[in-house]
Amino acid sequence: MGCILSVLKNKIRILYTGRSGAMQKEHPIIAQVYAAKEDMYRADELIRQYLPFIRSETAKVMLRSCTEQDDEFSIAMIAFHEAIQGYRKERGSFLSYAAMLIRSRLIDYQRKEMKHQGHVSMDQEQGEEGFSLSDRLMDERDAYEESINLKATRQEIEELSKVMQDFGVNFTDVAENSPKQERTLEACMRAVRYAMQNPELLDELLRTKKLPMARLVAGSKAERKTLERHRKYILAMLLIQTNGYEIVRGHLRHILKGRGGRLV
Amino acid sequence: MRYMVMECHLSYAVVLDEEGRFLKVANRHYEVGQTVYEVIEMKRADLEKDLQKKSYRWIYSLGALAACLLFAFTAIFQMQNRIYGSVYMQINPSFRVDVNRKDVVVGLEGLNADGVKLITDYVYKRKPLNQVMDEIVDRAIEGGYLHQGSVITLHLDADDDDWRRDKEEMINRHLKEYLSEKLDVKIPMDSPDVSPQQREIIIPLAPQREDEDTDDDLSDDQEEELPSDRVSDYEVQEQEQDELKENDPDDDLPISQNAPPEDDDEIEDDDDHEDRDDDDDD
Repeated sequence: MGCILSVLKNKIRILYTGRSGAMQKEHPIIAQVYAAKEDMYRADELIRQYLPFIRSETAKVMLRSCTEQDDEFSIAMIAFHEAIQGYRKERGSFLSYAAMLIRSRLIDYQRKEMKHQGHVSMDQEQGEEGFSLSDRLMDERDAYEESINLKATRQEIEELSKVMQDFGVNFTDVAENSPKQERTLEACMRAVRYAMQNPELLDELLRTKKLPMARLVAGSKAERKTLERHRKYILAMLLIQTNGYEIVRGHLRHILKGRGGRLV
Repeated sequence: MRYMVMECHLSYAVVLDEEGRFLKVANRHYEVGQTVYEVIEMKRADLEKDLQKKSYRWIYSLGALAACLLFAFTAIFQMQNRIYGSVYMQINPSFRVDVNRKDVVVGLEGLNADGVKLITDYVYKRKPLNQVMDEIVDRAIEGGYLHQGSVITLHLDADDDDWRRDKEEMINRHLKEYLSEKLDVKIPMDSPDVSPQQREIIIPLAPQREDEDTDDDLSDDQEEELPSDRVSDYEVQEQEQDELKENDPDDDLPISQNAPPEDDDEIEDDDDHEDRDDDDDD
């Protein structure tokens, strides 16, 4: 009886030590994960730190070695980022949670790819030169012109990003604040179109660095709560309507048309 | 759908689609300013929603539990107050006493002016049936409605026949015991199951005299000597009741006429009423 009790005690001690040992390893990661939730730079840093882990988990699913050029690797990285955002201490070990999420996303991607078997992506790089189909289809156009356009677009976007920083907002914030539902998106667009019809609102925005919410609510007839909830998104869309962002406005051309298809 | 790449990070990129949505997507070697046609969207929004749902789920569970408890309490409360049977009591004032399944009084109503008057300010709720009947009887005695020789007619009404039969017997026994200490009354049970001969359960009318033997076991031959005037009154009452029975046996027995003023002699409990029953049967 005494032997049995001592064996049991040892087992319990091992279990406790094992668990607490694992938890002790996890504690630094948990602190890093919670810090990365709030700061995208820390999130990038954590991801960079765990690139070997991400590569290893991807290889397990792909059943072959994985390079950073593979789409699966990009998907695994975003899955790791999702794990950072979604992790709670109650869910147990972070690395187990992240591994599960990576596996799940990769399997979803593989299933989706199997549906498109035989189809070729416009963006997929092919051949030794690494040109995609969309690149080849644009053979008639000047490649130099295309690269100029890309540079111009990049500059415009970087300029827009700087202006947004003056308002304390970046594109990541806007993406997280962006409406997903059709109805909400339409309500926000009504507010943006109203501001386009009343340019003094845009001037006021640039001058005061504040969103003229009351007038937008009154003019668009949208619910104040809806517009308040998507404040950062509306700010970004209004800034796009100010001078200097023709390329981005051109991308959004059809949604900025008023009723009846007239461009406002 | 065309997507314009707005921002690039190590693990994700932010793109703007043609409908004005900004999305976080997997960064498949994108460059800022690039236009792509296929993206893999980050599912963070779904996770948040799931978390929010889960964090508020306990509220829904609590709400459902509260609703169930409220429903249960309401059902119990209604069951307790649900009328299972009614006892109609006719002295001269008439009453209806409603009881629930556990013979607790849930309703009391005076059926005539005297009945209403008698139960004014009387609190009956949550009292057992026997107690309420005793207290009504006491009030009737105090009010002069019930005295020696009075008749209390009882009529029970319930869907459950077994309950009705049990209660008839119980009330009968109880009132006899209670009243035998105070008065002599008749308590006919108005019930279709009871034969006319069994309807009247009579408690001896005359009180026992002080010098008489107080032994309870009286032989059949021994009878109390009643005052002659009272005997005649009783006989008159009997005759009237017999006449009424002949005419319409299903009617309630009439309320007895007032007996002559009672003596101050003590009224002792004895078994003569059984003898009287035998006499009536004759």
